Amino acid sequence: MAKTVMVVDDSISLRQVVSIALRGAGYAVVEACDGSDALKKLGSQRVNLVISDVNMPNMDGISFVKALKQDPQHRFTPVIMLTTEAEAAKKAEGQAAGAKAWVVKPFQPAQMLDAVKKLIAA
Amino acid sequence: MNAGQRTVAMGDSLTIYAVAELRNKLLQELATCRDLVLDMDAVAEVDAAGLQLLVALKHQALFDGCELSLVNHSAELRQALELFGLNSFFGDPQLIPAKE
Amino acid sequence: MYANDELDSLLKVLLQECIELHQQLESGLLQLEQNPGDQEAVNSIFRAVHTIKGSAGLFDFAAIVTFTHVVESVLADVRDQKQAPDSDLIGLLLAACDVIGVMIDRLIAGRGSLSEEEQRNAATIEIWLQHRLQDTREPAAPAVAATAQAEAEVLPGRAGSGKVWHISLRFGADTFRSGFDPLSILGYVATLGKLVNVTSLTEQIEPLAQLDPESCSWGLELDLDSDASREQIVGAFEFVRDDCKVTILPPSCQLQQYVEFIRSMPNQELRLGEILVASGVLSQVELDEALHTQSGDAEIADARKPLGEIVREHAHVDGSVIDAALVKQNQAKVARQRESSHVKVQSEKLDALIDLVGELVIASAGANVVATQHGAAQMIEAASRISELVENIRDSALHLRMVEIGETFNRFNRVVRDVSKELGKDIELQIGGAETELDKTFVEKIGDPLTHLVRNAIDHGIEPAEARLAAGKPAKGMVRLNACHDGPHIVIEISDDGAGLKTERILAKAVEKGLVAANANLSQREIHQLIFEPGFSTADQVTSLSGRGVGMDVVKSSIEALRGAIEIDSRQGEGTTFRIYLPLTLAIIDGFLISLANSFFVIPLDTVVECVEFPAQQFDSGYLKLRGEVLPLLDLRSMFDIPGSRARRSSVVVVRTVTTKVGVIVDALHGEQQTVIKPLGRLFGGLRGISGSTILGTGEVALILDVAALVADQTRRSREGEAA
Repeated sequence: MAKTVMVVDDSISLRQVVSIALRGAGYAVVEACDGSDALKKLGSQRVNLVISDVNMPNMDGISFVKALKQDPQHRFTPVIMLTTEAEAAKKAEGQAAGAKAWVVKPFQPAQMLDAVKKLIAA
Repeated sequence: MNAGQRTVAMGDSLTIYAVAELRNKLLQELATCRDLVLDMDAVAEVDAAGLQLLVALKHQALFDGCELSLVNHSAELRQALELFGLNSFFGDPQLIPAKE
Repeated sequence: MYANDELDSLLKVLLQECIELHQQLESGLLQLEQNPGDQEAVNSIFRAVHTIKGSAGLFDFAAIVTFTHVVESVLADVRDQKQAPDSDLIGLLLAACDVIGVMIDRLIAGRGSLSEEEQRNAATIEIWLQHRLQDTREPAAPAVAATAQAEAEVLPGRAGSGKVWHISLRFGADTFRSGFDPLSILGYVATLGKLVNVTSLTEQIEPLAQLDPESCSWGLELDLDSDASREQIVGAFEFVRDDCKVTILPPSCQLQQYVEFIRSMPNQELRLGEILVASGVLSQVELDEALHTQSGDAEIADARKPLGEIVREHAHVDGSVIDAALVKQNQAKVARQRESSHVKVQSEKLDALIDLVGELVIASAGANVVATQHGAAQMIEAASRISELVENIRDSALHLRMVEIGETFNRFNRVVRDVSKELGKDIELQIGGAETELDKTFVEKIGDPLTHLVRNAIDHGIEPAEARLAAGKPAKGMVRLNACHDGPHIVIEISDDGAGLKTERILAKAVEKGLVAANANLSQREIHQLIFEPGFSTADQVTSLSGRGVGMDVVKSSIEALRGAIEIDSRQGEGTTFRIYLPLTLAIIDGFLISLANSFFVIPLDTVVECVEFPAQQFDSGYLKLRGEVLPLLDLRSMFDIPGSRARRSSVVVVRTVTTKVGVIVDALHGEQQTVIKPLGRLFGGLRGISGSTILGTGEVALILDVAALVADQTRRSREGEAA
């Protein structure tokens, strides 16, 4: 059974790049454009991993992770944060919120996949 | 009190999301029998939290002087046990798979 | 935080660096196109892009970072031989290179963003690059395995058995709650090699009744048979480091090989830690932790432990490896001292220095004059010693501004490639004398004229392939750029092996345009020179390349503005060579000081052939017969309206230009003089025949004669005289 990864980012192109890489590696992908969209799409449907951007309209990545970690349906789901080097404070905030893994932008598809594989087997 | 063997079919999820509930359920089962058999056929999802639960169950069974055996290991479970080097931990006839 | 101006100057340096890297990128790509197997070119391209990305990242130029990142990824594929650098890809990368260039230009111009169209183009190229990436990534190439293979190549002999790593893991209570699954982590580790032994530590797991099932109390001891680097293995635990105690013991049989590897590394200065990381003994994370411990210890204890010791204690690195690394570090230091390194200096600072040196030259000449006037032998000796040194300083200072022309030439690889593609001609660019040095100012100003001449050579010079074959030439045309020193000049040649200039057609055109009289009797050389006349164009067919608003007259005048000259050497059917002569430097010349009445003039010494006594009776002819040669004469007195009549004993200074020799009639000769050229200023800027002024040691002002312009005027006047 293919594992499912949710990709949350407001940049369509980035979402697409990540999704293409993930599908290529055999994962199923659900896309969301920001935190609230992600929560809505998740509902009670559990995914194996969430990859989320930090800066997004409506609900940013940090608030999203906080909400996710408080939801009994999703609180153990691993989260990879997409950070930039300039966001050291955000990274710490994200970690405190419960996103323990991160990939620094810009990243190569292989880097992304490597991080995913460290969290969930294909 | 039923002192005989009791077979419990495990659900599909043996993961962190299920362990809290499973713990209570299995504790109850253990308290009501002397020989607990878990049918692992349906286990489709397993993680380290699930395996930890099984190890803890085994410890509890030893503590309580109760028999515990796992049968009909699903492929997923066998894979996980093998990866963790726990093939022989439960002393089960898991080398004979329920089905392939 | 940086102060604002600090940031500004940093930014300037950075942008300058980006420009250089961009050039490196372009020339590397062209090199790769010529020779697709050139791994060195691939590496150089990759480094250039990587550094541009890094620099842009420093200053938050997100557009460049993102864009270059894609380029970099594609290049990484090429480097790892997952993609062949075929012509499609090179074309795509060149397009990407242009986008990077535009982005850098925008930053320099202070406008960070691209126009909408440029953005669209950039995005398109990016998508295409992504597409190329997906071609290799979609079949889910196991990136990790590939890297592991590459690593294994670094240390030959690591293949085979006996490379078993021991990994000890103690997961923290929060592991599950943080979203980690030791099973997944173990699964990942298994992809790095073969798990030969896994032991789960189950003893400390509580019986079910006491168990908090969401807290993790799992421990693992692993033996991993793997060719992966230490960095990769540590990387597997990248995310769980806070939640899990990880201890990694390297396979002991590799230590000897680590030692050998460190010894075999090139002698670049590397910090010990970096050496250890590069050789795979330590991972970067472990190094960081060791460094952290070092600074932490310093706060507690007075004595700082040497890094080597800490690393040894904490990371189980064998002592022999550290010793080898320390030896290597020392070697690298010694090598560094011997190596000459580059210092980046702002060009304004250099200009200021050269200005000062110019003043020094003048002052020293003044001191000489005074010393001579006083007649004290010791004084004269001291002054002349000083002048000698000042001369050396001048030469060294001017040399600071000299750069090799090769970089400028290399840019034409792209021009030739693009223009010949556009015209469907197969043309090779040859480059010679790339190491010839010339003043940086020339380098900046010679680019446009050179481009024009090279384009012309390709467009008009070289015939279509059929015509070439018919003429018995190879189908592939040749354009050659060459540079060399020729006495006081730097000569830059642009040659082609094309059809040569068509003399009759040029003449016909010139007559038609009214540039010369129909019956004018012109030599072939004079006819060729006509193409430099304003408004001259002979192309039968206006291609997209001609008609760009720059004519040969502009080429000529921009070269003359540099006190240079251009001449043509063309043979019908064999090809054309344009020869550009430039002075060695713009700032200071060796001059020959002359005077008429009270007016002083300087003639650039390198143009002076000889001085002869003027036989007064010959003047009226306007010519001087010198050893059987007829020498036209220039009369400065009438040209510059100098009062008084000719001195009784006048002299003639014989001056040569690129094309001819003339005699300049003067009243008095004062000998050689170091001359610092001062521009005339805007008011006199348009003055023909004078290229600048200088201040003499005595405080007098002397005008510097532009001999070439004077001769040209003289020739024109005499031609007009004939025509009239």
